Amino acid sequence: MSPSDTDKPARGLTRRQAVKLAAAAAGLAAVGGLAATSLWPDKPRAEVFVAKAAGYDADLAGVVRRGLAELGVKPAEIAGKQVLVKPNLVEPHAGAGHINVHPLMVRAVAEAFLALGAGAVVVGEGAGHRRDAYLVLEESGLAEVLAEDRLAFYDLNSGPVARRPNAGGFSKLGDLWLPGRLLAADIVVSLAKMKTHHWAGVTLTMKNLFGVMPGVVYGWPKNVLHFAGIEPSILDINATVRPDFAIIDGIVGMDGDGPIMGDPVAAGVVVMGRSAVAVDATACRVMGIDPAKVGYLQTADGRLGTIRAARIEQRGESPAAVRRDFALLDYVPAQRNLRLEP
Amino acid sequence: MTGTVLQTHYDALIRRAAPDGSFAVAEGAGSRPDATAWAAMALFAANLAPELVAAARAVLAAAQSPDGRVALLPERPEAAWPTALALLAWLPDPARAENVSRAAAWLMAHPGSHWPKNVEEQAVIGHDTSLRGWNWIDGTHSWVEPTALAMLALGAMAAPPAEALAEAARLLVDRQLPDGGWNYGNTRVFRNTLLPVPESTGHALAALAGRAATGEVAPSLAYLQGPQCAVPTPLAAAWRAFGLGGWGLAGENEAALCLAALERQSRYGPYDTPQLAQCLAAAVSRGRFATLIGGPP
Repeated sequence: MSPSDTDKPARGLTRRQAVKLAAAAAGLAAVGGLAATSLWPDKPRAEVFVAKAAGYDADLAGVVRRGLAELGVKPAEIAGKQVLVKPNLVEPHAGAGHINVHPLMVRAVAEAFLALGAGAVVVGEGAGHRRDAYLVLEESGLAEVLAEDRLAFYDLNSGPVARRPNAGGFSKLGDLWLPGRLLAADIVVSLAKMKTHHWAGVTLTMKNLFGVMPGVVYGWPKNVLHFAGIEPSILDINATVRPDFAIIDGIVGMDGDGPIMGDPVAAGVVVMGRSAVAVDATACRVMGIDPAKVGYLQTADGRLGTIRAARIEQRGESPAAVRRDFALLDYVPAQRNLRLEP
Repeated sequence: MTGTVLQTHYDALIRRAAPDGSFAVAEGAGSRPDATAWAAMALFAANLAPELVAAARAVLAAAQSPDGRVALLPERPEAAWPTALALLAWLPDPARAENVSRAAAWLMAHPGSHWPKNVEEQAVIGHDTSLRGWNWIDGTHSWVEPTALAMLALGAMAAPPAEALAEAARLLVDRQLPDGGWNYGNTRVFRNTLLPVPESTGHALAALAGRAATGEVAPSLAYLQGPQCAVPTPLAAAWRAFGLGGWGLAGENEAALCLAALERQSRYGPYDTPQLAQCLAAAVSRGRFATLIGGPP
């Protein structure tokens, strides 16, 4: 990026302004210096499964099991493996269930992988704004489920960390510091909530991986990532972590001023696949959002996966059939002009 | 002095001491400066294992860079937030005066990134970005917890930097939420006022004790005293005690909540060392943070 690039407009703000805001409020920073080439040898294709689920009292484990089967997952692929499920628990507040992945969705995913013979399923999260991980578990309702199901939880913010080369090169973050617990897992599942986001447009399974970045190295909030630019950081983290599965709790999502202060949306869907890029693109279509208009998804296309409908084989429900337009705020630059044409 | 129940948890902390004087960040894990500093403070507050406290301070001194900072990892010098913790751990020991002085100088030279907020930014974020406090990671913006910890450390020095502390106090007051309490450090984003959390509120109130009028923080004191903050999890309980303790409002109930949080390890598994040590220190001191750093009990 040349020095002059720093003053080019980025969604209505100059890049310099955007970096300042990122510093101050988990901000908005545009993608810059995108030199990374495709991590795929050929043009990528992907399968994504979409299921209707009217409520959290549905047979969610059955939904996830069916999804894994539709994705061609066999027991031999999972048997004996250590699975780390990373739910989105950005900033729980008691009684605000639509903010985070529902605890019953975490249970369903754990049950599905254990049913396929996983050696162990653990849950890990590094909440972006909260230091007391146990209070996060209590307020999100997840503590009860973890205790009942005897699932171990690891605070990814505070445990041992290790350095790994940045496989993306989209930002100037350099090497990434990742939690030892994440690196020890055989299978990583990014389990996200279906939400709009006031800095990134949408937060789905790719943005969810901000939560694997340890706070002891990146802060609370993870301000280093904001200074480096949210969108390039999302891309770098996904290129480096490369989650094995991406699952979205869209049963009740959030629109408007997400990821915390938005409104609940009963979208009634679960979206899942092996490619976070394709899963997020599909979820966007369900939300009435054009993935090609979401900066980091557009950049990821062809480099980290595909967002193109023609290259995504949809299993289960058609995204168009379950489309439920999420409210977008005209005063939020990152949400302007994202609407998917009918 | 510690009671029998607290002693059991202190024993668990002491078992995490490594032969070189550092403390493991968790059972079976490697050492880290924040774990070592909090362990030293918790042991000092309870007047336990003085040889371990001295060894921990020595390890922190060995980890101090020539420029004065104490980084989380040698390979990640920007993550310098343990500097304030090391300073706190050294404060009671006159032999560490030189370490204290260099750490303070580094903190004074490395406030959080700051700038005057323009009109466009005014519409997006609520707080005054021009005020200087301290950050988690060098080069980034100021946030509540690192600002509060640096204030507690610098404010306890023999010659506190009055001007910097006054500006940091203004920063914390500016980041206070309209209905009371603090979160990590944002008040408003776009059109929504954000929500408070117990641990950040405790940090801010502990740091503002003696630096703000009661009337300036009355809604926050009420929030921290309220039922929504009476939760037996380690950091919330510890900083509820320290936050109220700074204002003379902590007592048996706050210590009992810390004890309940310590007992909750039967539900959650063992806490990491920083959380264990903070909860122990809050319980044994009954919320009087000064006890951790050699101040009057």
